[in-house]
Amino acid sequence: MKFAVGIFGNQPLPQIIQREKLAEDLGYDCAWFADLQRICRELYVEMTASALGTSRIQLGAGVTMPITRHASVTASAFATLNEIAQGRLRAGISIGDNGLRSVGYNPVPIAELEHYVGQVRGLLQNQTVQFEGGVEGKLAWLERPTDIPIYIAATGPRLTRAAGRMGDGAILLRGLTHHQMQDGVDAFRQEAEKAGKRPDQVKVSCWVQASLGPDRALARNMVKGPVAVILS
Amino acid sequence: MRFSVGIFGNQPLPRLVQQVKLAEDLGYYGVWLTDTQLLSREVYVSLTACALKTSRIKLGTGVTMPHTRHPSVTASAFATLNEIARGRLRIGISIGDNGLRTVGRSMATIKELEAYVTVLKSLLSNRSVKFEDGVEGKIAWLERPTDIPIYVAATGPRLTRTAGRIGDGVMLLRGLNPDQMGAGVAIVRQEARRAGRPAGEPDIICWIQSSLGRDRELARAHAQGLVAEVLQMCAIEMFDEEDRPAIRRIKKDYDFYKQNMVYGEDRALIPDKFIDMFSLAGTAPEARERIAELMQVEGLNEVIICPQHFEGSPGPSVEETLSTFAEGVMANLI
Repeated sequence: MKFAVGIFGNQPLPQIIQREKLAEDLGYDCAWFADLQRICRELYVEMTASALGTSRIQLGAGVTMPITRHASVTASAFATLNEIAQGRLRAGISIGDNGLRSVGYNPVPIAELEHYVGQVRGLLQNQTVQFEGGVEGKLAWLERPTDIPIYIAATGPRLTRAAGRMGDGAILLRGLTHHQMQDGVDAFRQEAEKAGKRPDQVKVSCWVQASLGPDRALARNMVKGPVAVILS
Repeated sequence: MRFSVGIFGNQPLPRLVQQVKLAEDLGYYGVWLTDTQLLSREVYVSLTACALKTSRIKLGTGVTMPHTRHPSVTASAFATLNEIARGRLRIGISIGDNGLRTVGRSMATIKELEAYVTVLKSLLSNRSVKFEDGVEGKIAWLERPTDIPIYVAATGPRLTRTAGRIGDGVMLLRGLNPDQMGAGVAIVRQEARRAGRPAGEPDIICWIQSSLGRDRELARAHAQGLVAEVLQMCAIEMFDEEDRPAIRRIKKDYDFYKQNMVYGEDRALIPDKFIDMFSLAGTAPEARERIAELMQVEGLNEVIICPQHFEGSPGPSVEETLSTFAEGVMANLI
C-alpha cells in the first residue's frame, strides 16, 4: 500500500511548496493537487514550483477536468512538466465539480470526459489528434511519447466503470468503509479487464478526507468542512 | 526606451529558463513568453520556472487569448505567480492566432476579448464577477488587489483602437518601419484621449522579430521563417494594394508545423522587402541604425526583441541574437 497526500492550495504558494517538501521528506509517495482555480492556487503553477522544489515525490493533478482548459493546454502543461519531472507525473481527470460549478458550469457528461481524455492521451503519446472542424494537430515539440498515466476520479458506479475503460488508474472517492471501497475497486477492475488491460497495468487509489492530531475532538471538528464538501 | 525579449518556447524548458536567465543577465527589462500550446511549452509552467530562477526581469505572456483557458484560470495563474514574482508580472493578451487555429477554434471577436479582459481585471483587482448562469464569484484566496498590468496586442486598426481604450498597455505588431509604428502609436493615443484617459496611458510597446549575428546572410535567411510567422498574423489592411496578393498567399500556405519551411523550396515566398519591413535581421551595426530610427517614434516605450530557434536552421541561435543586440545595440543606446 502506498500513501499519498492531497494538497488543497488555499495557502500561499511558498507554503504549498514547503508542505510538498515535507510530504516528500516524510516518505509520501505522491502529492495530488486540487484544480479549483477560484478557491485554490492555479494547478500548473503549483505543480511546476513543487516539481522544482522536490526530487522524488510523484506529482498529480487531483483532479483536473474538461471545459476550463482546452485538452491541448492540459496535454501541453503535462508534457512541459515532464521536462523537469520526468517519470514523476500523474494526470488525474474527472467530470469536474467545484472548479466548474464555481464559474457557473455543470459537471460534464461522461462521453465528454472520454473525448477529452482521448485527446489528452493522444497528444501525450505523441499522436496526431482531431480537433474541432476536422483540424488535426499534435504537440509539435514532443520528441517521443510520454508515459504519464491518466487517473480517472470517480464516485458513482457509472463513472467508476467508465474509469476502468479509459483510465490507467482510478481515484475512488467513496469514504473509507471496507465494502464500499471493495465494490468500487471491483467495478473498476472488472471494466478495465473487459477493456483488455492486465490487472497489473492499472492502479487504484482512493481519496480520504483527513484531520489527525493529539486532540481528538479538535481533529474531528476540523474535518467537518472537508466532509461536507464531499457529501455535496 | 526599454528593451525586452520575446521567447518562443519551442525548446526544452530547462533551455528556455536559461535563455530568460541570460536575458536578465544581459540587462533586458522583461521577457514575454508565447502562448501557443501545441507549438510552445505551456506558458504557465514556463513562467513559473522562470519566476523561480530569476530575480529581477519582468515576466509576461506574449500573448495569451480567450477560448483555450477560462478567464478564472488565467486570473488564478497570474495571482498565484504574483506570490513568487510580485511586481514582475505583465499579462499580454489578444484575440488569438496559432494557439487557436492549431486546435480548430476561431479567433476571439474583439467583443469577446473585451469581455475576457474585463473579467481578468476584476478578478485580479479582488472584485467579484458574474460568470455563466448568473454565478458570481471572486478569487477566494486573494487578500488584496494585484497590480498586474494587462497589455493588449494588436496589428490592425480596429483592434489597435480597442487596445488604446482598454489596455494598461498596448503591444503593437507592425514591423519596424517608423512611419507604420508612428501610425499605430497615433491610433492608440487618439483612442486613449477619446476615452478620457490621462496622458501617458496606455504604455505603448512593440514586438520585433529578430535574427542577429556576425554572419549577415545567415541571419537574414533565418529571418524568413520569423517574418512568415508574423505576416500570416498581420491584418491585411496594413499592406499596400500591390503587396496584398503576396500576403494572402503567405496566409494561405503558412504551415504552423513547418516553421523552417523557408529552408526548403518555399524560400522565395518571403521577398527581401518584407524581411526589412518586419524584422531586425543582420548584423549589430545595421540593427543599431534601425533601432535608432525606431526610437524617434514618440510615445513608444519598449521594444521587444524576438529571436526564434528553428530545427535545422544554420541561422543565429536565440542566445546569439540576444547577446548581439545587448552588446552591439543596447549598450550603445541606453
